[in-house]
Amino acid sequence: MDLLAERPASSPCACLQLTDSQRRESLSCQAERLKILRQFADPLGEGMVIRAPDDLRLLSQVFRKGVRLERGVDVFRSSMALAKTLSAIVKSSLGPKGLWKLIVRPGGEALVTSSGSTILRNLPLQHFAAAPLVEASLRQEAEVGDGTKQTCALACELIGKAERLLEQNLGPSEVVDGYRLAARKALEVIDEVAVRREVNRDTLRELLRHSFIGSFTSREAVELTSGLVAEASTIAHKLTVKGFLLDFEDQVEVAAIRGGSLSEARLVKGVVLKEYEAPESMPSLLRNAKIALLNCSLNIDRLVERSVKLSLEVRDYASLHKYREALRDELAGRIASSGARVAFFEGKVDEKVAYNLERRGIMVVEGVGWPKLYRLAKATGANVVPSVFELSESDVGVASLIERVKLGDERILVVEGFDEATPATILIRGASREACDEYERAVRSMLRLCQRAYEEPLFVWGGGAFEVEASLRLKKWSRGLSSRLQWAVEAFAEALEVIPEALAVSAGLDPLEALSQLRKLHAQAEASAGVDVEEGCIKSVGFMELARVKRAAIKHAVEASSLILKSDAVLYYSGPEKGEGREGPEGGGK
Amino acid sequence: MKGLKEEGSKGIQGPAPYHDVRTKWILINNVASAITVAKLIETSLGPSGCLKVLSGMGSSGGERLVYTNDGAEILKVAYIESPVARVLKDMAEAVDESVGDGVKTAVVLAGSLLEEALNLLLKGVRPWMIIEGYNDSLDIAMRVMKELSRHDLTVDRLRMIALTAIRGKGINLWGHEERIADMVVEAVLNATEERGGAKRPRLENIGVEALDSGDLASSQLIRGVVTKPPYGQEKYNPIIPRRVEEAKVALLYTPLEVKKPRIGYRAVAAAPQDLTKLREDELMYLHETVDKFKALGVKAVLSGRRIDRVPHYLLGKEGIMAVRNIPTSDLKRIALATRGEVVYSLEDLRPEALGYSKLIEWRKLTIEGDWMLFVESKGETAVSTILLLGAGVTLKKAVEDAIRAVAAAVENGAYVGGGGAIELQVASRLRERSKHIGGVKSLIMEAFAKSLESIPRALAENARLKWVEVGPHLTAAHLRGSRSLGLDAVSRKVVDVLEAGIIEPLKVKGIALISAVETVLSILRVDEVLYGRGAAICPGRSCVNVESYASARQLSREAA
Repeated sequence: MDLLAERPASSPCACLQLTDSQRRESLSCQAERLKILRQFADPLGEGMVIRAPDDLRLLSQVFRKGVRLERGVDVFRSSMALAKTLSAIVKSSLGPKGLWKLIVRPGGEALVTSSGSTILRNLPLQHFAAAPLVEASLRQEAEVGDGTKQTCALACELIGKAERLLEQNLGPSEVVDGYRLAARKALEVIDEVAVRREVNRDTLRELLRHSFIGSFTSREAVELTSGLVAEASTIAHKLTVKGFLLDFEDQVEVAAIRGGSLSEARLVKGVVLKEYEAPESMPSLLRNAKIALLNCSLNIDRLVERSVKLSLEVRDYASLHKYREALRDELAGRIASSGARVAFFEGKVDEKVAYNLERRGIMVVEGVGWPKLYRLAKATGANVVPSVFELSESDVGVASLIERVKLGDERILVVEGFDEATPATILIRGASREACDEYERAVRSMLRLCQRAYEEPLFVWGGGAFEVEASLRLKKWSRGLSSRLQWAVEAFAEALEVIPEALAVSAGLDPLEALSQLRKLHAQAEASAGVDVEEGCIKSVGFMELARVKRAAIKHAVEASSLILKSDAVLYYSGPEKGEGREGPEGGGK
Repeated sequence: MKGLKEEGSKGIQGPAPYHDVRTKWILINNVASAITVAKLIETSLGPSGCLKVLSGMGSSGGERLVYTNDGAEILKVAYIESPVARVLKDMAEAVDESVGDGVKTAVVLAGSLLEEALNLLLKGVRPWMIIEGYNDSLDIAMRVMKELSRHDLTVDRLRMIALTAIRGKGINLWGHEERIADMVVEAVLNATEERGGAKRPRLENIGVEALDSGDLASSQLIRGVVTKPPYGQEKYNPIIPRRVEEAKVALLYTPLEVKKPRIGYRAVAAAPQDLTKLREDELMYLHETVDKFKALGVKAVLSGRRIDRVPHYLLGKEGIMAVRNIPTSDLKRIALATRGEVVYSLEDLRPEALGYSKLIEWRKLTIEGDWMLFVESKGETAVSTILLLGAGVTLKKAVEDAIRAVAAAVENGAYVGGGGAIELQVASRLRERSKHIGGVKSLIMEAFAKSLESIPRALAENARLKWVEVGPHLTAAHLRGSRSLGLDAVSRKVVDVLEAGIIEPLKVKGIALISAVETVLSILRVDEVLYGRGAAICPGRSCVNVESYASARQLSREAA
């Protein structure tokens, strides 16, 4: 069975196909089974065969052609192989000095990334156990925005540690129950050790800088972006209504524009339109302009036809033409009388009306999507009006600044509002489309992390310090358990140390030595001792991570690993032709 | 025989010349394929049961990957072709539909009943004797179960039923099981009507909404309705209120727009200027409609149909919240929750038809989640919604099953011990009875008793308790007169289940047992499998044919 989808040998993932030995193993398993089967043969005489329910031949009778079943030890073994592979990939990119990965996608497109979720999302993994692990990381990103690699590494380590437990004859359900027990205790440990800190612009910037330093190419870039996000978040936080979850991402938008470098990133206190159409004569800078927002299009033919099925008995085409012209005048007049200087339309606007308005000095911006219209409404206080005939002076809002900027190969329109409630936009630049996507995702994750920080300002020591501390406390606690679950709890405690271990490796330290030193320091009640990767030493670290991130990582890792460990049978279906030739019982017997 | 069959359909070519052996062959094969399926489910039974992974299966095919330990789902998704195994699958679906819980119990029972039947068949017992014997045993078993069932249902006991049902799925709830069980019981009791002494829980009044992310601790029971109408871009529009309190509600099932007459109606305009008049009339109509809502004092308009942009804007300007495209079933529950009436035409909108709600609000509970509309009712109503966070589909299914289990208990009023206790007790009674009967029937009854024990056996083995140690201890205790000793698969101990609160409704257990036996009997009755011309499978794959006969021969020769 392949761990990874079939790829050309040149791809970086080809080296991960460690499946041959496994295949041989599973074949020998089948041979074993057939041997047992033969003992069942012919108990009745007359050539009748009563088959044990495990009989592969019988399975092929029950299920559709091409279905193959893998159960018991085979399943565990192959998931463990996958976990080891994945953890090797993820662990090396953990932390501030984590390495980046180059992934070649099916079209030959290369992707360089450090983001855990991006790596996992793009790896061509086919193994059944890959899905929950990837899912756990993606959920981690969606929920807290950070700690995706931690989650995956921890989940993989939990699966790896289960190998020994299963060999010790613990059942998978016992292992999983033990892990769950330990995880609940670990969450308690988080509550015990977490420190409440005041969240403000500076603490946020510090938090972001440490959490995302691995995602950016340079220190300056991460400083700049962290600063921008921290500032945007503090503004967004001020608007948060208590009891109502106001989404930071709803308030702060990220716009990535190709070209230039990240150092040109800036925070716009307003809305940035990337897709729109505006007349050439529109001035590139307007201050304190009144604007009208309309979520409709202006099409004279449709206005004439109306929604009613109408047959117009026209004898005089000239009069119809005149009527249409009059209608255009009326529409333009209505927009003009509202006092707006710029009118934003969701749809297309009749050219003559637009021209008419242009002559009156009113600019028409077309093709603005509804999300932007509503953001503009928030920024300027204008109402989004669904019909020109409903437009009145009270519906018009004011923008403090409307600017047309050419950035790279894109023309953007910046509309700024007046007060603080204006939705903000973080403008970032990236060298390529991939870089843009990557930075955009990173900034979104940063925003999410900031929101979580405001919601629950609890922090734990970073640099693996928390993991060592939790591991120590869990080990101590596990001694008090009388059931067989003790072993699983202890394994969980050991698995937590995968984080400081990986950090020590990336810092160039000897992992065993580093871990023993850390354990010693923590046993001496130095709760903040961790791996300072940037300085490459073990010491009392000065930076903290969000407790929420750790909590979510433990939860997601335990959920994913228990899903995988608890599976005792896999039914594959790979189409009738392919399945038959590959795994026929006869093939196994020979 | 020849005349009976349609031309082109194939019968089974039995290997032996005379009919009896052939029947045995087919029976054995049928039984064996059903057992295979049951064995697959067996390891998923109970709180510490394993999951199954189904890869590349299901209607969408391809990349689909399902992790589940839900019996009905495993059987539904896995590509089962053998006609006999399909009978089991149908049974699982039927049990799932009627009680929700107890699917795996039924499948495992059916499997072990068949296994025992197979042994008897091999000893030369005729199928009809087995059928008769199983039928008699079922009667006795049902009588014993009824006799043993208890009726002292308190809220606390209901809560235990809910807990047993939820724990039975083996989902990690981070210690929130009890809270969720409380919510389930409260919701069911809330929705229960009492009519003429009989209690009838109306499950359609209970909604379950599950969100993938969020903190399980903030799951809650909401007195009212939570709904997720599709395409609600208006909630981003700052002019439209996202929250109204103490509001009169109009419930519509009619579009709010300019009426578009269907074919057969034509407006005729003589001159272009008439168009202006027409347009003004249309706008006038919308303004009048909105004024009507305003005059009635309505603060929220909830519609199952569309609401056009213009009326939406006009309503928003008046501070009236408007929501469109609410799913019909939710709209009906909202009507119940707000004591309003769904209006099918705007002319029917009277003050009496309006509902009243404590709070209507668009909420986004998690960052990446969807917006959901909360409609909370004022005062006591039968409608409630269980909102689960950080749960996903599996927990939703577990809670739904728990709701149905509690409802079954409330309706039926009886419960029995879970954790294999009731099966052990019934088995020991059957054994005792069989001693007085004698003959082949006593053998069959004993076989029935033995297969009932497959439930505690599977529970024990899944929980890593050794059946060779636990089993005799339990059976002996039941023979000595203990009635409620069973297994606690969560703490992996032998306990008194009634004291430990591992209880299940009688209805669930009864339906599981009856369906298992009926299915087994129908499989045992089959002596010939006939394939139609268009059958998806080829004969010989699911049944014996000449080739497999030959290869079996070869195998046996090799073994010799």
